[in-house]
Amino acid sequence: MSKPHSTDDILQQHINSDYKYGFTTNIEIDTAPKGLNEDIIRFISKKKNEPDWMLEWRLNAFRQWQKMEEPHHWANIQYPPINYQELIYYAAPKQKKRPKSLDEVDPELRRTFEKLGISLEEQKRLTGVAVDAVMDSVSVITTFREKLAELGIIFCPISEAIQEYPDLVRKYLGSVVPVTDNFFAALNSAVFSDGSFVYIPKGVRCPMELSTYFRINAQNTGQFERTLIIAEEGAYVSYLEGCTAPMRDENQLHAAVVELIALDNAEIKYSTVQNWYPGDKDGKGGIYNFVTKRGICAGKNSKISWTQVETGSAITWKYPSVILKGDNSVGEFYSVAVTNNYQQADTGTKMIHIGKNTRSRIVSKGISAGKSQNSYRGLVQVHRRAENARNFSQCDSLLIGDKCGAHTFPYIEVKNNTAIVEHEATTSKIGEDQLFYCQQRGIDPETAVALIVNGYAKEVLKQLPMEFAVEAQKLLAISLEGSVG
Amino acid sequence: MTTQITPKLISRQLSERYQQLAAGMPATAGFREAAFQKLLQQEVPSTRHEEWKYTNIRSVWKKLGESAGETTAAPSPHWQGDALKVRLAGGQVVEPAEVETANYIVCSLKKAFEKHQDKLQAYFAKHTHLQDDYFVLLNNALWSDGLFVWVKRGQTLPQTLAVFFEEGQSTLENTRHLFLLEEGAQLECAYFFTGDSPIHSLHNCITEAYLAKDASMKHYIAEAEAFHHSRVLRTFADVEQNANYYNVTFVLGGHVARHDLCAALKGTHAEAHFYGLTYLRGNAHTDHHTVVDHIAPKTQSNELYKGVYDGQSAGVFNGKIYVRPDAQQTNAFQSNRTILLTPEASINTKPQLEIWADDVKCSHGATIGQLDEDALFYLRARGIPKAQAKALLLQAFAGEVLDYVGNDSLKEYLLARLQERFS
Repeated sequence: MSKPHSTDDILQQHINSDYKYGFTTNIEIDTAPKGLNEDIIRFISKKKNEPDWMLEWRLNAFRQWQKMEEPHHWANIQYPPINYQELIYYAAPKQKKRPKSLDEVDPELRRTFEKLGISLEEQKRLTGVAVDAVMDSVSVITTFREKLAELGIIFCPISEAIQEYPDLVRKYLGSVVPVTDNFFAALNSAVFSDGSFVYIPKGVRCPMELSTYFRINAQNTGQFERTLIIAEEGAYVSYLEGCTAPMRDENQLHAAVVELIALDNAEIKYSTVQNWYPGDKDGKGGIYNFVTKRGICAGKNSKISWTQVETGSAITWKYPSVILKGDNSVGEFYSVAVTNNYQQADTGTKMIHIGKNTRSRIVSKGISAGKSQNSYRGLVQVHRRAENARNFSQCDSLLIGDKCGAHTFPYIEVKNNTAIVEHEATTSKIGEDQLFYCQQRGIDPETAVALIVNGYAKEVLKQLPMEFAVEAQKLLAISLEGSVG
Repeated sequence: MTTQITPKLISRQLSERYQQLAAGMPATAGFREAAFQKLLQQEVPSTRHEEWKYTNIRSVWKKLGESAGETTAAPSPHWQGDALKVRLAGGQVVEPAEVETANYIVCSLKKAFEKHQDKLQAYFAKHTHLQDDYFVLLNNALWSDGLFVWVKRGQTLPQTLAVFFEEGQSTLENTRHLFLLEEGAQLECAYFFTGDSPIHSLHNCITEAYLAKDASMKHYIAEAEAFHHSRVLRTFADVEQNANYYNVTFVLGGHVARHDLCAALKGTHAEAHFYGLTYLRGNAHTDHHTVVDHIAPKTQSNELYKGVYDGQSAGVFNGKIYVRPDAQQTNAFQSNRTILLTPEASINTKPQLEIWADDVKCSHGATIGQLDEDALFYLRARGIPKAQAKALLLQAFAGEVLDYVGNDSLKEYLLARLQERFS
């Protein structure tokens, strides 16, 4: 293809370049009827073969949810009301039984994940990454389970964990994000269908990256997954999640809950590369990504680190947070959020300092292009008894074009005089001189922007595991394609 | 004396007061009526209201009129600098009655409504950011008096205008002030809040300033310590091309003090400068909400707010900067620095940038910490006692803001007030 000459050409090219993962898979699916009521919840629970306590837990969440109001005022996002009775709350690819090995997985499903670049074939992997592949409401397959089990690590779909490790699930489920935490968390608690469960026993360092890949396929469905990660004393785990969805004209809802628990000396690293379908150039379609993610550093010297690269979704509403309860615990949040066209993102973090000598670090890089709105919203809270708490926050925004917006809403609440809290934020655009410098050296504007943006986001990208960092860099370039002008 | 004021209902007393005021100033009756009707639909904001999240104004409202016991602090001396002095007590302008020359007018707003309608009509209550919030409506309906200041094109008010507010003479005071600066006009004005009446009172004070092209206004606000007087102080400046609004606010503590300071930069090269120093002790609570709205291109704003919190005092800072789509090549800087001296003191900070233009330079920074241990050690190693070393460091910290006070006599006065606090 010849090199585009004008801004219009570049834009045109971008508009025509499709969202790479926008295809659908033709596969027979098992769905629940439309709508939400107690019967649907019983249906989901029965499908999952759940014990009674789980059904009760869900029904309680549903009753609480009915009393709650959808938050519409505080976040800097706008969308038409969602009709929760029009959604389908359970959709699963038809499978006779849970496959024991890869050979038993429906070839169509395997092809789907291959097309997405997710290899489910263990032996072919160069580096060991164990994958839990989730399609719509259920987990398709989890790789490397046996190998991990030798170390006592549990990595399985949460639906299985509910049956096989009910004590663990009962102890921790909802302990970090209570059922009534917020509207979408309550909804998730009532109807979640699958997700990953990770348990790292005392003193074990997980030898490979654990990963979940989420795929929405079916139409008119919502995806509600639930992830629970527990790192026992001295354990370590690095967990990745990725996600994509087909291109559809209507908006689809994704309301997940992620809970992390780190006990004494444990460390959890959670990385996300979020690439849900962002909608087309006119802002039609796309995923509403309303997610509650929270970790608790329950033990001494524990550490939780969130890294996120947010490029997809029509609307992103998520605040991965850390409750720093254990003394000397550490919380980190690294984020790159890119919005283009009509995307809206309201994302950030909460660092709640409760224990002594707790430390937190926030690095947030927002990039807005097109007609998008990108907001950072964060809270740093130092409680009365959190002696010697330390926080450093940096949130930078980069604006590309004059039709987009960049906003920062940092809340800082300090109730202890030994705390040291620093916050800084800047907003700027890509310098003409930087662009000129690159172009003078024969780099075309598109590549130059990608280069500059990657440099800008480097501090966050370097936190990602290697394979993901490469993906994320490419993703940044694609998301911003055609935004120079 | 206990006045029955509930959050939900406007008391009969307020209702009567409103009718009296409307009858006394027929020119404002329609305006008051509209505000009063809206006010009846609203209630005093609770902490669930985002703008009042950290300041419980409702609890202040409930305490109004209650006896607060003996006043312990000796009242600070008044500033004695060379100035045109105006005194307001009980919500009324007490002195002087009127100063009017061809170049400027300083009189009570009540009088201005009789004599200078032609001048004020186009401006009074017209500020873009003057929204229908509870205290604005309350003021619209119930303002009793205030200042009207007009400076003619190209003229300068020859003396600093010093406005002394004596608070606490009635439980609820609503005052209203209007500054009109024609093209190239200049003025310097200082507000002083005093009063030591032993009842809980609230002063709801709205100032509107309209700065035409090339005009410049220096506005100083000084609050002495007053344990029972609370204050909702709102200042709205409308800044046209090349005009400059400059504000330094100095707070030594009231019971609850809420400051809303807002500048709309409407013409190219318009500027707003906000500087604040807050030094609280006891149970004092101060809430600074600032808004700088960059509407026109090439506008500039600079904000520096510093705070020192002792005792169980609490501070709030919420600084909003808006950069509208057309306001290209804007520079906006904001900084908020806080020192907490005791374990019971607290601070809530929320700097907020909302930007819709791409060719801008905007930044904000916030720090919260303590006195530098190394610096303290350095001084003590040189034989300076701890208390004195601390005072020195605090003075240096505060000094940065004091330096922005352009009036030397006023600066000395403020420094003296600050030094009283250190000793």
